[in-house]
Amino acid sequence: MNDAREQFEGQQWQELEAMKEQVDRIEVPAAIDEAIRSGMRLGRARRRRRTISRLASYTAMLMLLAMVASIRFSPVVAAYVGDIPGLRAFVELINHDKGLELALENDYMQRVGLSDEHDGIKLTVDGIIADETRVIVFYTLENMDGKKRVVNLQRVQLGNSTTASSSYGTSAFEEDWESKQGTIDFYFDGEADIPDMLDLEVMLGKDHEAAAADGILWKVRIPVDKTKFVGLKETYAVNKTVTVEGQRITFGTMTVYPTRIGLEVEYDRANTKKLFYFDDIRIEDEKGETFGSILNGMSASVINENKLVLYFQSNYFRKPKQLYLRANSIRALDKSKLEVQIDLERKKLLSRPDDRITLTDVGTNAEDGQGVLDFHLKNDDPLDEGRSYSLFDSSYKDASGQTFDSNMTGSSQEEYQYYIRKEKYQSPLTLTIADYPTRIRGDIDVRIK
Amino acid sequence: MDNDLLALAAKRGDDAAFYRLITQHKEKMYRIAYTYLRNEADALEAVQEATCRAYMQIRKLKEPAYFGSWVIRILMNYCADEVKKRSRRSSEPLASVQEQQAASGESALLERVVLESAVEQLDGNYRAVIQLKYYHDLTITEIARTLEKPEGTIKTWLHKALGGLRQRLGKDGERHE
Repeated sequence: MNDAREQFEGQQWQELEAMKEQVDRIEVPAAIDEAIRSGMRLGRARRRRRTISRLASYTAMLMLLAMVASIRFSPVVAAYVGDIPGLRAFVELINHDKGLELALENDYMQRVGLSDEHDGIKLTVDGIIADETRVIVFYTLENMDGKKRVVNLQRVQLGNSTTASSSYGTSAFEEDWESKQGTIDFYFDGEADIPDMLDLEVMLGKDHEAAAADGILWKVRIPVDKTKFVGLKETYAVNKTVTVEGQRITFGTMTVYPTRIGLEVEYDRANTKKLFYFDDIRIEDEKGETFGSILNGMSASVINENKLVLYFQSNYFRKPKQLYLRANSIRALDKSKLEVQIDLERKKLLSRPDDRITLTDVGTNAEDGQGVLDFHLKNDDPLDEGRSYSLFDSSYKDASGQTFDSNMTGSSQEEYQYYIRKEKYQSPLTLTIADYPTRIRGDIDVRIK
Repeated sequence: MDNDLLALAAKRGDDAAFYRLITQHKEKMYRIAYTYLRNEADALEAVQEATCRAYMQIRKLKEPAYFGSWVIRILMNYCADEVKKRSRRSSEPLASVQEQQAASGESALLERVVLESAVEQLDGNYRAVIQLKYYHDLTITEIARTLEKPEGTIKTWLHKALGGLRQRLGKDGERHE
C-alpha cells in the first residue's frame, strides 16, 4: 500500500480523525498517580512472590512465576534467533532464565525437527537443551485442520526412563489457534540416567480426562548427543559454614552445569530455628552480575529435613573468574513455635508462633462437606507485600495422635484456608508451619572461586 | 535526565527513574485503557496493573528508547484480556454507555457512537491499529513498535481494518462482496 492511497483513505475518515479530539477530552483523574505508585508497590512485591507447590511423589519444590507482559531480547540473542525461523517464541519462553538464554546464545541447543501427527494435531520437537541432569525439550503444536478446540499437554512421559521427573508449562485455553510453542523440563539423577534416545510420549487434549479417553499418544524419539555435554560440569568444594543469628548453615559442593547450578545446603541439626527459604540467595561474579534462584522449574531438591540442593540460573557460559555466594535474609522460625493447635469446638488457637496469625472461622465447605479452617495472617513486612505463603504442611494430626493429609489449601492476600477431611476428630488439631514471615538476617558472603 | 538514561537507571532498579519515566506516559495509558474499558475505575486498575507488570519486567527491557511502546503493549495486552473476560460474562458490555449517549439525540454524537461501535467490532489487531492511529495519534512506526510487527504488516492491517469499517458502515469506498 502506498502513501497516496493511505492519505486517500485517511481523508475518507474525517469522523475517525475527529476521534482524536474526543479521546483527548477524556479527563485523566488525579488518582492516576496513586494508581502508578500502587502498581509499583505491587510489582515490587510480586517480583518476590513465588508460588510453591509440591510434586506429588517427589520431595521437590516447584517454583512457578507467571509470565506476564512481553519481552525484548539482547542483540546477540535477537541476531541468533533471526537465523532460525520459529525460534523466537522459544527465547520468550526461557527469557526468565538467564542461564538458558546464555546457552542458546552459545549455540548449545541441539536441533531435532522430528514430529508426530494424530487427529489433526502435529507435535514437533524443535530442539533440546541438555546436560547431565536436565533435558529441556522445545516443542511446537500445530492445529493442522484448523478445528476450534482447546489443546494442552496433559500427560508427558518418557517411555524408556522411569527415573526422570518432569514439568511442563502453563496451559492456554483459546479454542482458535494455529500453533503454539512450549518447553518440557526433564530432570535426571545423573548422566548415566539420560538415555541416548528419549522416547517422548505425550497426551494432548482439553483436560486430563478427555486426553485419557482419546487414548492417543504422540510419540517422538529424540536423539541426545551426549558428547555435547559430557565432562562440561564444574565442581567446587565450597564446604563453608556460616552463622546467621546463631543458626548454622553449611554450603557443601557446588556443581555448575550449563543449564543450572546446584548447591548443597545443610542446616545444623542443633539450630534453634527451622529455616524455610532464602529470600534473596544469589551467585555473583567479579563484575557484580548476579544469577538468582530458578524461578520457573525446579528450584530445589529436598534430600532430608536438614539437607537440600538449591538450584540457580547458570552462569556457565559467562566463564566467570570469580564466584561469590551471597544472601541477606532467610525466612525462619523457632522450632518450638512450629505447631499451631486448634480447638475445633471453641474455634480458638491454643498455640501459635506469634500474634500475626489468627483463626477467623471453622466452617464446612458446601461443595464436598470438608472442614475449612480460616486463618488471617497479618503481615506488614514490605518484603512480603502481595505475597501468599504455603503456610502449613499438608499433614496434620488430632489429639489422639492420628495423622491426616489435607488435600487442599487456599489463600488470597492475608486470608488462608486449610481444608480438613470429613472425619470425627479429637480436638485439638495440630498443624505444622511450613513457611512464615519471620526472618533472620545477616550478610552471607562466601567466595567460591 | 535523558529518557534513555532514565530507562537504564530504571532497569538497574532505580524506582525514582521508573516513576518519572512511566508518569510521562500516564495520560496516554489512561486514555487507551479508558477506550477499552469505558469507566474510570477499570481504567485506573488497568494503569496500575500495567505499571506493576512493567515494574516486574523492567530488567528485560532491551531497548530503553522504546519504553513507551513497551509499556503501552503491556497495557493493551491486559485490556484485551479484560475485555475478553467481560464478554464471556455478559454479551452487552457497552450497551448502557451507547444508549445513554444516543439518547441525547445529537446526530453527530450518534454518528460517532455508531463508528465507535463499528471499531469495537473489528478483530483484535485491526481494532488496535485503528485506535492507536486515530484515537491516540500514534505513527505507523510507533504502532509497529508497540505491536511488535513490521511496518508493512501494520499498513496492511490498517488498510484491511478500514475496509472492514467501510463494509460495516455501508460506506461505498470500494466494492466488496
